[in-house]
Amino acid sequence: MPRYILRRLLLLIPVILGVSFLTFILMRIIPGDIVTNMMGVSAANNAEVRLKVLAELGLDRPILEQYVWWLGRIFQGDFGYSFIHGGPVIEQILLRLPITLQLGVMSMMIAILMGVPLGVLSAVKRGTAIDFSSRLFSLLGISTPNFFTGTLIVVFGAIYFPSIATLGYVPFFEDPLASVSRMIWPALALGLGVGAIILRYTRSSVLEVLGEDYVRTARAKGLSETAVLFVHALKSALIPIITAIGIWSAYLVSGAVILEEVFAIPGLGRLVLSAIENRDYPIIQGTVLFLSLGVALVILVADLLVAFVDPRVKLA
Amino acid sequence: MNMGKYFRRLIAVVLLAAIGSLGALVSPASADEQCPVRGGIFTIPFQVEPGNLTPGATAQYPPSLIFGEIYDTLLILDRDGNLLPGLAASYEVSADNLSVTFSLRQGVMFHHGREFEAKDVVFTFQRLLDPEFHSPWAAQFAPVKNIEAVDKYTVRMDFDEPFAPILSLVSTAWYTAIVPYDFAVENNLSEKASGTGPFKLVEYVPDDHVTLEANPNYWDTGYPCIDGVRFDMMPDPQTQISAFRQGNADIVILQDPKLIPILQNVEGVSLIKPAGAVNESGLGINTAEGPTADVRVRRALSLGTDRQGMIDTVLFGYGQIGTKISCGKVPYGWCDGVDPPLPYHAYDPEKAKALLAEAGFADGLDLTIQVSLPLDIQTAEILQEQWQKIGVNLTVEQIADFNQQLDNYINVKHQLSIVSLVWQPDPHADVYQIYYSTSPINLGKFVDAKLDGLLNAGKSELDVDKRVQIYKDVQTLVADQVYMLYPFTKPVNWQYVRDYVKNYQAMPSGTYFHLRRLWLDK
Repeated sequence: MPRYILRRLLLLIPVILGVSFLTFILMRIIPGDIVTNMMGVSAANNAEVRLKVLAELGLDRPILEQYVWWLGRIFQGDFGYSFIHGGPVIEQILLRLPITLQLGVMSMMIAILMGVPLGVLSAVKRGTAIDFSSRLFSLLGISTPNFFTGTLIVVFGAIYFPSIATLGYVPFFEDPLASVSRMIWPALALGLGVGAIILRYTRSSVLEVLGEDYVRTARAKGLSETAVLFVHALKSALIPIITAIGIWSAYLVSGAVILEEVFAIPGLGRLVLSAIENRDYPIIQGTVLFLSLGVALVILVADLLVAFVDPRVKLA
Repeated sequence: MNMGKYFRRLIAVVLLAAIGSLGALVSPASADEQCPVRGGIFTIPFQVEPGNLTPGATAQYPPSLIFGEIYDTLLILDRDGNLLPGLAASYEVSADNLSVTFSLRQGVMFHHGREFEAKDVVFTFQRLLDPEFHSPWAAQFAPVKNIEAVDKYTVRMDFDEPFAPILSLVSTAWYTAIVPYDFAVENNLSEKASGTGPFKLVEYVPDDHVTLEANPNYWDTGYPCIDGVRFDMMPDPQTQISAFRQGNADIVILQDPKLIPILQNVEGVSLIKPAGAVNESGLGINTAEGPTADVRVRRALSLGTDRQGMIDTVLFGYGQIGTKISCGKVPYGWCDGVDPPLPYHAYDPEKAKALLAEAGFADGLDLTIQVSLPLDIQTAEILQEQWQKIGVNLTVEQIADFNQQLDNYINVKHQLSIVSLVWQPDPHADVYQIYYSTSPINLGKFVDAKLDGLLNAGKSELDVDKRVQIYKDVQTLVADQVYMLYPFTKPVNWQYVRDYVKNYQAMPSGTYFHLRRLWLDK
């Protein structure tokens, strides 16, 4: 097991290099540039001013050299310096991380608490009105984009329930109750979609397991349907669900970028969006790298969990 | 958070009551003509992350909306175009127009406790001109030869040539907010700031909020009426509207007129009178080649444009008829209904047809227009419809990449083309570059000695009244020759405020100048 983890962690290195190189190159390919943004069109067209600013930001050197320098900053631990705010990128990221983390964890909880029970119910009551309505619900959840749900909550909340605060962010350790009661709305908008997907995974996984021989054997032994479901079926049905949850956590990250904008939450998503608007390359590169690292780690944890639940899986 | 807010408000109320009763003992009459009610925090949803609050460091406009409340300028341009004393109590222009002397206000204190003096003004301008600081404005101040402190309260600026825009520039915080010579070098001004303005910086949390508190020693005694301002960063306009509806914001600032009806029937809020228009829809015309080289054709296009109809369809009525120096660019702007009518401006399709026939296009004329942004596309489509009535068959050519269109626009690689133009602090900066015959970015390749003469006069005439007339003449000439066409002009934004917000007005440039005077009746 430790060797497996070590190997997976080592595998992260090429992933990081790949992601970092891609974001680095992409940011330089898209139109618009930092000098025009900072200095305005007329000043930026002045060659002298332009060179000076580029030199100050380190953008006058060859691209590969810039890339290697930035990799160096990653291993120094500061991820480079923001063009706009000036400070180390890592400071900005760490400031925003807990906020996005809270949003991610809360929406994942909503997704799991909604998706797994409904999925099991839907599978067990296959073909009934319950099954039909939960499938309809999941179809709706999957096909409604989360920013749309989010905007609906914001707009209709403000019109019909003006006393309920849906916008902004309160730090968790300052006032946990207010923090959770605000964050619940974006988390709901984000969690519904993922919950709908988990619901479908759960339903098909449970249905498949319920058709297995050992379940029939368990029933033949005279076990109650509840015992069959919870003792025998659910445990193996969980395996693909856990994998799915791991993969869909990546979806949560991309959703958070948009929903933080809609709900005015100062998390990593807002950081990266305003950095893109300002062409603040170090912040964009640092945040994207950080987020992809996070996703890779969540997937690793999900894989470990599968190994823990499924004795057939040997990690070596 | 909420509890904290209520608690703070409670304390504030108790304190205010205490102060109020003290005040009643001392001077009963001072119960405030300026501010019938004092106190309260004014919350503004702010669309763009300001990034850097250092005056003069970047060309971005939104940061100056915030730091403009922390710092002052030498002069103040009010909503109606009057040049009022700011940090300079008065100014004097030398007879040869080659220098301006500012007499500074005495006894003004910076937030960090030092008295404001001439050295600060000199520092501010030297910093803007310093190549190491690489301010985007350095080039604009090129005619400034020398700036020196004559004594503690007098500053003199000398120029290489008469430089009329200086008066607008020294009243624009975006360009010349006065920073203290000692404090500004030692501190990151986004984190810690000290100015002489009506508000002090409390904190700036990126992507979340900027808070300011009232400066109790503000030189305009008695102001501000409120305790502070909070700018909440909310990039999404719908989110801003929701925050406003919920009462989490006292104002909402809309840039898109489509959003105005959403709040129209909401109780307790009202749309305040927008300031004058400062953004123009700029229709560039190739006056060097093709049918549009004929002034009769251009005049026909101008006469065939139903400007009010354009405003009613494209802007839902929320716009103004105007030209390049539009009505909000006080005092220089041309205002519909106030200034004398411009030639070929009123809708007259019959006369347009006659002119086209005279030019040899009695059977119709095919023209092409380039556009790329949504608003400009809509404008072009309405023009297509309107010009059909005068026999002009307009093809709308959509260019996917705006930068490509802009490049064509600047180099006149088109027959017709529309780009939306924006506010500039001075009419010289506004029109000289785009109208002057030898300018590399003359927007229609037109050469007009009379126009050049007016533009040169506008650059060097420091008497504001005479200068106003010069720019009115410029606009009349451009309208007469139809070197460019302006289908509509519009204000920079539309603002709703809650009804308890009193004495607040919108400024044409979009600044929050009236924050210092507004009071909250609650």
